[in-house]
Amino acid sequence: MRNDLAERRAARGWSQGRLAEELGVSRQTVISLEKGRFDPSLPLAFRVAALFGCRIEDVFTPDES
Amino acid sequence: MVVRHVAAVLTGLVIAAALGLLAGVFGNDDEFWLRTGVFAACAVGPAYGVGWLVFLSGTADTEEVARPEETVEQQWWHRSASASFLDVLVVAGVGTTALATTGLEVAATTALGALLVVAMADVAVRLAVLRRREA
Repeated sequence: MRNDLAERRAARGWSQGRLAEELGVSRQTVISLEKGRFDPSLPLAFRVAALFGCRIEDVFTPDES
Repeated sequence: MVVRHVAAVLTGLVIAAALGLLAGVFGNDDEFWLRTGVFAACAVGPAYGVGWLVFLSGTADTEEVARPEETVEQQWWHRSASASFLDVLVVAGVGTTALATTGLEVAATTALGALLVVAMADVAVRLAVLRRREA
């Protein structure tokens, strides 16, 4: 699953550590999320969307199969 | 996090000491303290594992996070542990079949110890591979 988390984070001037703190997860989790190597749980996806004030599908896009 | 580590170490020491004392009490020879010391020393590692399981396994690495269950580290752990469980079943099945067909007698402590080592090594290798591949 692709996402634009890195761009949204950069737009706010946040570090990966700051975003991890806001989401209540580890920095490694944010790194893996931004690289698209980790699909978040639904509650985490909802928190990401709420944090950036948008819908889940605005941040995350399913891979084309 | 430091408190959790200290609690895990103390738990390990207490369990190891208790196991050592039990081994000393149930020993048939006169070497009570030697038997107690050797058993306690050998049990420290696995006993610390119990402490780690109780106090540290729910947390992600060295970071104190609010929701460790949603971290990628936790997912790696679950994936490696569940895959390792299947490996252990296969190893146990193949080993049991081999022993049954050859008629070879192996002490239960030896067989279970070997199975334990295989399981721990399997999880450790799988975890390391996942970390390297997906970090």
